[in-house]
Amino acid sequence: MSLLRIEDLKVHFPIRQGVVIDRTIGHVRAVDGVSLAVERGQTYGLVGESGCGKTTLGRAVLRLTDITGGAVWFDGRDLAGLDARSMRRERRRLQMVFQDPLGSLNPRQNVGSILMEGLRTHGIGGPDRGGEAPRGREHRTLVLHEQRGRVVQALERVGLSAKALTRYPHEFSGGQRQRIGIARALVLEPDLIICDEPVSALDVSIQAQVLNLLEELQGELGLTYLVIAHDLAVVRHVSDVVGVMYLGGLVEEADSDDLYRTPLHPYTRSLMSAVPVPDPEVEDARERILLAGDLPSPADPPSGCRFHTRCPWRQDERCATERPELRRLEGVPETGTHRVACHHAERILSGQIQPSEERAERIVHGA
Amino acid sequence: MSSSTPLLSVDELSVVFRRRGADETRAVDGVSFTLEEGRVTGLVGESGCGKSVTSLALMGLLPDRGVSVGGSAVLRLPDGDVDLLALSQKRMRDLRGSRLAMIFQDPLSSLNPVVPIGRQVTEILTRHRGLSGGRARREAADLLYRVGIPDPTRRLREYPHQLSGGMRQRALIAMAVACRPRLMIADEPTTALDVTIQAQILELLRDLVVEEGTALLMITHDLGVVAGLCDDINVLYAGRAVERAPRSRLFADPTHPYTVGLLGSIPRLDAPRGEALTPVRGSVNDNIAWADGCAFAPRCDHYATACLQGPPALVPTEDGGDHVHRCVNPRADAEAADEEPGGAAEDEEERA
Repeated sequence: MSLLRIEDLKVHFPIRQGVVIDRTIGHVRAVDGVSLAVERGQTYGLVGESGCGKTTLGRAVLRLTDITGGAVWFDGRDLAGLDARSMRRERRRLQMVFQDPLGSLNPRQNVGSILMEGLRTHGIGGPDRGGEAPRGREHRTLVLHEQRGRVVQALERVGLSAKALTRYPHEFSGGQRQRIGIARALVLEPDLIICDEPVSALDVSIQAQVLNLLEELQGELGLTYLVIAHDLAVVRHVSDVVGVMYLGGLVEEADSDDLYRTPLHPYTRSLMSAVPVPDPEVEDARERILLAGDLPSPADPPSGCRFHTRCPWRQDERCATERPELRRLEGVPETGTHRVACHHAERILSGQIQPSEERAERIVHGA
Repeated sequence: MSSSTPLLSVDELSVVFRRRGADETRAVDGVSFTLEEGRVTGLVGESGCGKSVTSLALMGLLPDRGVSVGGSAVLRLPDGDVDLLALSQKRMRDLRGSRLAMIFQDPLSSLNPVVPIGRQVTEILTRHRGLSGGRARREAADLLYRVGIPDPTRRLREYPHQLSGGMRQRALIAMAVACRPRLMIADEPTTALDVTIQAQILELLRDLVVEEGTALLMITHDLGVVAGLCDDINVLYAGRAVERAPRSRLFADPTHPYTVGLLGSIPRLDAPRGEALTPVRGSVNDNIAWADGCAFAPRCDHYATACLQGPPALVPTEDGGDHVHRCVNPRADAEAADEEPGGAAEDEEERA
């Protein structure tokens, strides 16, 4: 059974207008019907550009944002239906690492206090007294001692030492702060960690250190990750399965190698062709599909296929009227578990449909 | 490199920040490079390497107080050469916008939020080309159209917040190219943008260089962007260039351990999965001063005692010519190949 299974998840934010009378004049459909499953011990990478709803999806899983519709099954329980108290209890097993390490660490709390907070909230640590209410100074000392032990262990796992306990976030470098953020998640021994842009605020050399750390921790502790990032190269590097989001919906989902080898959705293809590769020979030789224009507003998404307004492979009326489902390809068995939300995926793959040069701003063929 | 005289030759540029009661900070510590027309030169490095300060110094945008700028930056003009670092403020104002232009990282903070785009573009045309009224507006609309902004006459009346990020960056590029500058400095022009928009902007810059013969100085941390766009590349570390080469040489045969480390740190889209990254140990804070030896030595896996005996010089590498590096103990290719991935646990080890 999958550790996390999201079914038709919807998160809509109301757009309000009016000073005296508050009226809702529309909705931003940040996440609009996403279904995906994350297997235990694996990494699911969610990639997309700004405004595609990937961060909102991550926050909705943790119920940091209200869910409009759909279900979030975590280890057999539907998180969407839990009340606030049970959800808080459940969060011990679901932790999050945020993008901006400085913004997500309280500047007035020292590292020890930041890491202890979760343990205190969930009442972790101390001897089991068999249901008897814990009492007395002696007991508190024991609890504190054990909590401190757990915190130091978590810090050491991420490559910091106990010396960090009494220091404050501003005393650390960006990479070290992100390590503290990871330690804060680890200290509760969660099953699933949601990493929202874990490395995008870091320098390249530090980025690689943090990515390697995440992989090591997964190997040691059997963690499951949901990694959310805009950088396809980073996501592909860390993930077993990659999902590509566009304007609130999942447009393609595949094993990370399959996705690179045969991207099926036109959006994935253009996204992939836009990611710079640090190799001049590859850069000069490959095809670049430049999309025209910007992402449409999620408050007023295009009808039918969300991507049809920018799609170089756009075909008939159907693209503009019927929203494609995420499906497996028909008659192409070698694509396996690869799923794509495009009406014409088979014919695009076989080359029957060619991109139109006017719709792509320009397709640059390599020399 | 071509034999023509360069458009701009920067020689031993240094920028030192002084604060009362604190040690001076050498942000740029002797950087030399040349820019040629129709070519893109890249300055690559991580935060704190001095790449942005270099561009601000060249444009004369650093404050007077507390900063001392050394070295020279000689710009070739039709009426003789001038040293950008020695020009008066007034003369510099005439050059900026007309001969020199700059594109910044964050388009929202480089545009005035309370002035419509149109007025910001026509301001340049009025100041440097003496156009006014309807002619300036028509020229502005034409500029926006050329950089790929649809419906430019409507956009001219809009304010920066009404434009998307990619559109704002295009508007800035339109302003930069308004007077057909001979030299353009782009400081992380695509860092704030999504990849598909980044691809559009890079294509636009590439076209400008090819069509107008502009010299472009591209400042970025992204080696992927460099690989696709730059002709010559300078890798900066702690205020000095540690390696310089034409792009094919740099990527095929990097010799400085820092360049090797940077390349090993990037997850590549086309790499087989499961290939571990080989990052550089530690962080930029672990430097030593260049005066005492190689600033990179504390993070280098391949350093010898010779590295700590005085500042290393920029010397030609074994393949010679225009491939130079600042390293006394470069590693051979064979060694680089069977390099073991460094343990991440000791990375960025606590500094007491």
